[in-house]
Amino acid sequence: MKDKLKEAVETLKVDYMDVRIEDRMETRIQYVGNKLEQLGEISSFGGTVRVKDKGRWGVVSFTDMEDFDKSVFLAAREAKIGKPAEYDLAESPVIEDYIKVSLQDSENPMKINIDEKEKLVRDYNEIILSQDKINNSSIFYKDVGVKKFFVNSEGTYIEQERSECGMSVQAIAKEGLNVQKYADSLGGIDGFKVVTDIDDKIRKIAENAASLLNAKPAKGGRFDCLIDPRMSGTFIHEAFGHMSESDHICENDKLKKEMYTGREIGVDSLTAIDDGTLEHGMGTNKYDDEGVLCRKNYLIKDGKIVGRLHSKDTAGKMGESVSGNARAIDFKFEPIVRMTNTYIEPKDWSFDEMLREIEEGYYVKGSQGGMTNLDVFTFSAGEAYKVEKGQIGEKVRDLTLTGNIFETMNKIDAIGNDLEIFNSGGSGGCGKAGQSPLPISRGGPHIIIRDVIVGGR
Amino acid sequence: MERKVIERALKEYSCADAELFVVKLEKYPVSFEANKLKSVKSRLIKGYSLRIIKNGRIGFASSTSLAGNEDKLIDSAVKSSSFGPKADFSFWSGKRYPQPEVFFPATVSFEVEEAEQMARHIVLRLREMIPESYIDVNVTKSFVEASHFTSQSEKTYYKSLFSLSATALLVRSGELLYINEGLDGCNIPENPLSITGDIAWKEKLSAKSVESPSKKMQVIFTPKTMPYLMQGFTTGLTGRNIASKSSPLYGRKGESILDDRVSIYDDGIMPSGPASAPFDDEGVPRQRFALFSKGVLKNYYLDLASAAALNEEPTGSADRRFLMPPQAAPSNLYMEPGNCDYQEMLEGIDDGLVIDQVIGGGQSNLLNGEFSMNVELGFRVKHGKIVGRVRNTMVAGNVYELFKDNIEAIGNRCEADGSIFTPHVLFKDVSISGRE
Repeated sequence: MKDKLKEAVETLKVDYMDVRIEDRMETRIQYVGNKLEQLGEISSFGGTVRVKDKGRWGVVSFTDMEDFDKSVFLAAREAKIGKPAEYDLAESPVIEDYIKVSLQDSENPMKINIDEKEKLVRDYNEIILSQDKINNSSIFYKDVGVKKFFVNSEGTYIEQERSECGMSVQAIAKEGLNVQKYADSLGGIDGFKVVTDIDDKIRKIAENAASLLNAKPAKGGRFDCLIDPRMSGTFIHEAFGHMSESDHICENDKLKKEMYTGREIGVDSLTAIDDGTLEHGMGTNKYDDEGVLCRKNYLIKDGKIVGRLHSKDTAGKMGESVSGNARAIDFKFEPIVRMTNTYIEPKDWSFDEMLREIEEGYYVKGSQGGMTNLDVFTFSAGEAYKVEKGQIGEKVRDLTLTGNIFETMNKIDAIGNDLEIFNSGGSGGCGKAGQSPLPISRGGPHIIIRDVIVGGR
Repeated sequence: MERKVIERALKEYSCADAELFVVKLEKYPVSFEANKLKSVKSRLIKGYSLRIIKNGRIGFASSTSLAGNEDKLIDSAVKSSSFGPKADFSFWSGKRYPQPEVFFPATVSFEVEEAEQMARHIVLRLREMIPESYIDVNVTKSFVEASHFTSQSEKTYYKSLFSLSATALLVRSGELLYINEGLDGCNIPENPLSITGDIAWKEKLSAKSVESPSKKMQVIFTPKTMPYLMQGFTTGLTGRNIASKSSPLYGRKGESILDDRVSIYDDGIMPSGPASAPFDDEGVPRQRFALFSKGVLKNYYLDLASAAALNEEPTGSADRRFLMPPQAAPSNLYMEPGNCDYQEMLEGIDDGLVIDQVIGGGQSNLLNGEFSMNVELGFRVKHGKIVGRVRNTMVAGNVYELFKDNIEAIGNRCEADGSIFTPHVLFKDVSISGRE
């Protein structure tokens, strides 16, 4: 493989070229209610060739090694379409490295029998279905073992293995026509143990769904909200993380003016980080999908914008350094600028102190998803409680938060001391430009956001 | 080679039956970003998905390669069958199927250079119309060859796809304004530049920003946002949610669920429909069938497994994402138009909104019909006239309630958003949260 790839990138006379080949194995098991909905192994192999010729990109993905030469030819041809543009990719060190999965066989999901995985999922499913008022469940287990081969025309050659597993768990409670659900996902790269011995977590998901049956829909309006670590992770990911992805910024002079380094964006105590090296992080890799070493990048420090996320392309266009954030969900796709493990740094507020700060508002917990268009964001809470005069009151459902990113960043005014980071898994992860789900982590401490728009009825 | 896999599964592995679904996809996207050519791409992908029935259970395995990989594939499927789902159905070996128009030679022979020109043209035109904007354009042609094999049958169809989309981005005093339009089908649109006019018109309407109140008001959902409401119904209608009895629509066929002016169809054989095909991903003929007819629940989306669980016929709704097992899902959705002209509809609003783009769809409790979304592009209407673009606005509600007794008027013309064809619909009072 190495020789074939090296030969291909050395013969073509272009500005830049790289090839990424992946050999993947995936196990998927899903129970819906008491029915085993799917169980099977998916083996896939394929790659993407990228050619840059006078600033123009040709990109070809393929699944058959017999199409490899044709793909290289096609990419070179595509890169001659359109007007030439002169810019260089950002430099990154030339690397030769071989990364192996360091898990023991007893912990490596790829070495564990499918019947053991099936039993685990079935047992969890039974826990959910045996809870009061639960009418249905869905547990989706997925593991992925991948070996990636990367070569580029700068001389880098990397073989990198990765093994991950995780689950998406959903419980549905029903009373008459009232149907409520609660979902959560988890996962990791530390081996099969991330999905074992979590009976309590699973039970809690079912209890949450059941308790939503009696909750009233949230009232819409503007409120001060105390946000739990799961939601503050979603917030920093959606509201600011995507904004830090330079592919959105590099061609847009007006957005560049908004996102300049040094801009004050929030309170002095606000620091946000994307760390591709975070221990146990789902978004952790040694190298990104352009062969660049992953690293810890500060996005916001002491309330000011201090950095952003790059590929070699965006860093080159903006005259900045690479950050190790070019990622692709699999061989069918080219790497684009993505987050890894993104979180708000903890500060000194305790939970009780923060709660006392809320005169009238909500305590918002759990996250059922979020979205942004780089202007506004929305995210849906898993559950929420009314707060009056610092006291947690009744539970509400269907609460969604929204707002303009810059305005809302400025309304964070207390940052807790209790950092928690959550890994994606199962069907969870981050989606962008048709590439979903990408394994990531997100987190933060409890925070207060003042005067935020709550959607509700 | 494909036939041989089926034969070997039966003979050498003693399977009762076997099914192989093969997809060959070629996709050629040309994309412009921020007014410039971003990349020209190709995707050449093959996928082989095998299901077998052995000892009354289903086994599944899939792979990107077949040659030299047959044993591994059959072996993995057989292994998974030992504790796989119970096979309460047989694979579909029917040989008759419709022939909808889904293959257009002109689409297949459309060269990437032509796609680049088309995209460039749209960028230039939009830049003339809206000088301060950043324009993204995507032009993608695709070619699909799908084959379905069982021990009794073998069939193949060819399909072309053409997709065009454009987004104008404007940055105004720290606020971003996005306006999207797109066209999808199996053939090349007659007038691809038509999307530029729609975008320019909406940009003009957005010149002034206004706030929304927090109250219930009259709201028009356009054919671009109607799909988010339809999602509430389609989620409740999919075989899996019906068979597991978790859908509020379970067991309610024949019941009047919606306003009797509402008829919604699934149409898998619509000419040039993006989701049209002769047969679904389990080989079952695609068809046109009513989901709701005059408000009465008529059918669910059923694949083989959910049809068997409910003791009904499959509806030709099986859908597989690349290398994944099949699941019942919508094909093209068509809601019958009403009799109200859009202008007339607008004039019927005293104080309300037109909602044309949202973000955050699908994050609420869809199964229960709930939605809560941020209005990305929406307009405040006062006394029948659009007065400006709204900011900081959420819209929330429940589709079962809205479509039951909250419809004021249904538009007289269907428009497409991807594979969803709907008219404009004006509702009497919808919850809006804003900060006026």
